[in-house]
Amino acid sequence: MSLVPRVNNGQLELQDQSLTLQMSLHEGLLLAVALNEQLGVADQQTQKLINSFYLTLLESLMLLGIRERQLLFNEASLEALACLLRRFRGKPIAKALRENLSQRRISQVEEEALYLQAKPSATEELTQVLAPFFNHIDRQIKEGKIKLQDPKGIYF
Amino acid sequence: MDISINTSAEQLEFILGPCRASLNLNQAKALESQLAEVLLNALHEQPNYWQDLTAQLESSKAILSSLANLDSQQIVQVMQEYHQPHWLPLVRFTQKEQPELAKRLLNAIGQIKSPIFTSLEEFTNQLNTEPASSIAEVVVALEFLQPFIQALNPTPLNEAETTNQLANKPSFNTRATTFLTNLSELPHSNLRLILKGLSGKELVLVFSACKMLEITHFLTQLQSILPEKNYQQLENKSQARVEETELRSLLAKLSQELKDLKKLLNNRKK
Repeated sequence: MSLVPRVNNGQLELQDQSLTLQMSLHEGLLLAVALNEQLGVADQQTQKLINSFYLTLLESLMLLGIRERQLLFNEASLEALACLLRRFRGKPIAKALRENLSQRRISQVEEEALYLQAKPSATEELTQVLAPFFNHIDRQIKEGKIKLQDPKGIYF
Repeated sequence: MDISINTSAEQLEFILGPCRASLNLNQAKALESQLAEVLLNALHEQPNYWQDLTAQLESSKAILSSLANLDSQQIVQVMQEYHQPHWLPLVRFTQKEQPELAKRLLNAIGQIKSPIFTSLEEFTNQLNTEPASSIAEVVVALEFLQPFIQALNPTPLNEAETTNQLANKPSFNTRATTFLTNLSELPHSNLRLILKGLSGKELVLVFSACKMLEITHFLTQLQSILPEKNYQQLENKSQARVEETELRSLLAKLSQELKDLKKLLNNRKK
């Protein structure tokens, strides 16, 4: 038996010979993290995977219209923002993210435990903090309110 | 969805929501590397997608120079006839390539007083707030610009340009042939609506152009759409040759009619 993953219409599909299981990309990420854990992959490697996934996502969000984008970050929980700002501390994407937040919200985020100190396990952080943020984006896409573009593309 | 994995002896047991799966170590490792790859590329287009578009943009951006050669009144005319959703990618790209021309485009938009168009203020707002315009939208916007500029093409000033134009002629005729052939393949009811928007003189031009370019399918269509008497009249008035300037403006008119029709059909769908 083998399972082959592919992306179709913004969803992850796992196929074996006869069946296809569909899940969100974020659930796929969670599966990858669980798999890494079982296979004894170094935690650093797993964190790198999560960061790369979220870097692409955030870069793509930066291509949205300014109102949709600010609304989206405004609706994100303080924990999710704290987690993202901690992950990308000192990186250009953190700066871009800050530019979409009000000064008040930035100070609130900076007081969050998730921003200040050591992190929970990757799985906990994904399921409890980041999943609601991602699912909200996913819903907006399905409702046709936003469209994620390839951040490696050429834009004007 | 509940996602968990348990390892037992040689197998990894997956619980994926309502599904169960078990993989051996090698299969699990294969899944792990494929999964990472697929997840990280989920938002990326196919490898050649952006290169191909860049090449297309390179070959179609010369049209901006033709646009810059028009006088202000002509630019207003082009923007007015041009499909409004293309304004945004066109102006954004022009701001980067030819900032002076971009100012003239904005100025032209400001001069369009018709309420069906976005005002300059609204448009400037869109420039700052709408999602980034992808190169794909720019390529389409530039392609759509072509017929409008061709329709306004000023008469050549010197011999060099005349020769140049003559050299261009076969390719323009090819484009005209493609366009008219495509038009002739529309359903009768749609083609009839387009023809309705034309003056008698323009209908004669369509007839002549189809004769010159040997687009017999269009003529057959005309014969079945028009009453016998009108068809005969057109045939009698038609000529075997059409001047290029006339052909260009006819094509611009037809593509505008086609666009209006599409808009009409879209509105009906809503």
